[in-house]
Amino acid sequence: MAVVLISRGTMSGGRDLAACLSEQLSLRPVSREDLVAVVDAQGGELAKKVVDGLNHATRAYEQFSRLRRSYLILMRSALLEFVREGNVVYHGHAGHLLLPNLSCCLRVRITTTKARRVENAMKRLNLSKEEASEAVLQEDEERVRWARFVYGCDIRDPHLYDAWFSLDRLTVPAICNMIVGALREKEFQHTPQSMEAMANLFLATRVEAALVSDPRTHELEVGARARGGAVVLEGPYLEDAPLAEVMEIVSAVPGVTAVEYEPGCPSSMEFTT
Amino acid sequence: MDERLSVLVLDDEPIVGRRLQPALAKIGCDVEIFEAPGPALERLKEKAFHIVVTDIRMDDMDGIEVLERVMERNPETRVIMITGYATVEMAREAEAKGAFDFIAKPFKPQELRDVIAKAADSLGFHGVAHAAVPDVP
Amino acid sequence: MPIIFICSVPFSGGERVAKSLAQKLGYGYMSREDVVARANEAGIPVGKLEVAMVKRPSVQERMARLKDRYLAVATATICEKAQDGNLVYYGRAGHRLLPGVSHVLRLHVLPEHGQRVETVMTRLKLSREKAEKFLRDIDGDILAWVRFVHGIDMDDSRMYDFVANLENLNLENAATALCGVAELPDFRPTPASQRAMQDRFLQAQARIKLSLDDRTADVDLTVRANDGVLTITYVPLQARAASLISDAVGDLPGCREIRCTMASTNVLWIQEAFKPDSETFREVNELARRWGAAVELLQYKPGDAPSDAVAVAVGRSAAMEARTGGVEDDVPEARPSSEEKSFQETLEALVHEGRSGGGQRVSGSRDRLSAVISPSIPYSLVVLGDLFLDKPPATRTRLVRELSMFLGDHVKAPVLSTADLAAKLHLGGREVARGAVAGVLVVLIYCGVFLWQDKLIDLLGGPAHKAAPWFAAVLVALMAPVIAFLYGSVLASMMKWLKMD
Repeated sequence: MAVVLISRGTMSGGRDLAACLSEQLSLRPVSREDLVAVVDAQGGELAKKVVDGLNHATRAYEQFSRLRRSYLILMRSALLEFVREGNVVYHGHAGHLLLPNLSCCLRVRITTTKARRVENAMKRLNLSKEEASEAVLQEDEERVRWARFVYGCDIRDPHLYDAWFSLDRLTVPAICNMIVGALREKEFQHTPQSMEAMANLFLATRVEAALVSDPRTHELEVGARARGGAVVLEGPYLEDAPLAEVMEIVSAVPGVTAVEYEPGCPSSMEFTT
Repeated sequence: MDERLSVLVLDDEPIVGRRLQPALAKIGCDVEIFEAPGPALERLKEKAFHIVVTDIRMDDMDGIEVLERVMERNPETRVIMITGYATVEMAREAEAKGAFDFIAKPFKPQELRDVIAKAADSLGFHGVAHAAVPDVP
Repeated sequence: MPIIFICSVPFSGGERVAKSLAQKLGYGYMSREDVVARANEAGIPVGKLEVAMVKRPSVQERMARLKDRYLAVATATICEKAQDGNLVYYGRAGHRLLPGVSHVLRLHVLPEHGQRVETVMTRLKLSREKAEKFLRDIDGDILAWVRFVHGIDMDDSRMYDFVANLENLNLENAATALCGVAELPDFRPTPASQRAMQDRFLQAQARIKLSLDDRTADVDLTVRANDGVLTITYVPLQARAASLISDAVGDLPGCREIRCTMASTNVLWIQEAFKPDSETFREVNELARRWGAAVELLQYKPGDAPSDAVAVAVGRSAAMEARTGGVEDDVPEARPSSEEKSFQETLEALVHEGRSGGGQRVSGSRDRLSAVISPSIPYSLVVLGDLFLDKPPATRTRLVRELSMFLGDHVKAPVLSTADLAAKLHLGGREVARGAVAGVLVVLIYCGVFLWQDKLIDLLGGPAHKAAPWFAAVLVALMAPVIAFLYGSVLASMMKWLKMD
């Protein structure tokens, strides 16, 4: 039931690590593109617009900040579709920040020296050394800016990860072995409690995703907490008609057995540790 | 203020007391020297010293515990820690427990006099600061 | 097998990870406490450095030499224990002591905050608020220590091969994960890395001997070891110590040869008052760094009553002596003036950078100044800083220029004022614009020459030249210097940009 979330630096070998783990532990590799595909398939037109819109967002903060919440909910929901089954290695830039600090997930960052990254960029993108260096620097800056905009944190902060590896002298197989060893420990095994927490998080996120995907409730900023099938919604005071729409949409989400609305509480978002 | 500044010096090395007594008497302090924590703490029960200068690494009891006991008994006393084995953890622990200052050995007596002058100032003994300036030939 | 350095802050669990790992691997274990104990035994008062991190005076008084001695003892202690590898060391960025040694694994352990606070509350009997403050304070002190002693940011993850965050990974987990890495062939000692470690050991031992010997303790020396050959470089101002070096070092195991050399690149900086936080210090230090030069300070008071040159040395902290119990002699000493203090601080800052060439003070006429500057010292540059401070600006500029010309005649080195230094070495907006304009003109001239080369050839040696031979001569006489000037401007800007002085 291993879940590994890899945050990779530009051209740092993260894909290779994901491939190695996938092979050694029979983990399903998942990338950001897979999450976007899930959103497209499940979320409808509005959801697709949110995800596409935010891709162009980082330089126009005011225009796109209202999309940020919806984006995070939809992508979190997509990631949880994979993670709740276990046996997944996700590799991306900062996707691990979509989830709260779950005990059964190992959050890993992998980087290497600039010289090596430039070399990788030259090989992969068929660039000259100067072009590759420029490309790596720009990509680094873009990723840092993206994470700061979307998640409100600095992806270079080691406290956001459980383990940080440098490929300066460690090799991908060595790191892979270390991770495999760590995953065998009981801290990363699913327990009934961790499975229940995962199920509750998944249900709550599906409810939030349903609300942001529907044009009637997209703008309302209603959060959800779940325990078993019972869902508690937190959001602004609503008139009867919008409240009825919210309750109708939430009740239709598979797995929901009871719904309660607590007005006046701001919806909580736990996206970083 | 006519009262003299009373200073208790606690260090298990006799040479320290022998060197500090005249150095502090120079600035008008009444100095009592102790080489063991037990008798020093007993004396502190009898008299509320203005300033206690204590070593940290001693056999029977460490200076941090002496600090704790002094602070418990008389929080107004200014406690100055001295040690040859200072670490940042030790210095910050002493600070957290109410020590007035912390001096690493080896130090010049003038350094201690400067700290005592500051401590005296905080207690309302303003004259000690002026007396602490040494005579320059 | 590797030497594993685990770096962490106190009460983090890092020490337990280190001990657990040592036990699992069957390696030797050593911590910073062992190194500090060894340094204290050698009479080095490490506690003074520690307390300096807490009090953080604006400049670490007499700390630079103390730091060097401590680093030498730390390096020697670790090298001695790790002769065959197979060592786990727990401390603060200890891996920085062995640059060039490849069989070193660098690990950083990040603590779990909640657990850390609880540990401090229990162990030190502090309230939660005081425990939180205590941890903030010691973390700041240790960051300051690592920055001062090793010149790096301890929290920079790029300094490590692996960073373990104990918020989620437990201690045993982290230790287990590390076992696998320690067995990797990448971290096995090679003959080259063993050699590098022996050189670090030799260098450290030489440094210890030189700093504990009264004859050489205050001398600014650079010690390097390479393949068993010790090279000890002294600054020209302290050339008298050269003869004592070999004797002070004596016989060291593994040392094939001792070479004493005088620093060949020296910058003499003459100024009336020095400040280590001044812009001039930054510029001179940057230049010295680029050139690998030592910087000698000469404090000059023009117009004051003449004085003989007084050499100023950075004193070292008194050693821990049993006979005094750590209380130094109660000798009255004059409090230095703020100017003397600043001079000392600047000297200290240069020692800290490893670029001190010593210092001296002189006052009087410029002939007296010139007499103090030793003709036998090969200065690469003489920098005139802030002088004639009591004069109005225009007079000051004139006097500095006159002094510059005077020294230029008497000293075998280029003499620059600090204003000229900035102009010559730094690439500002104006220089970029000038270089760009010159570059465009050079290109245009080259294009012109090659586009009209037939006409030019005719003018220089063809029928047109025969008709008016004087014209070609005039043209060459006018154009050659213009092209040379433009070309030189472009090259000068490029060299400044490339920091090639």
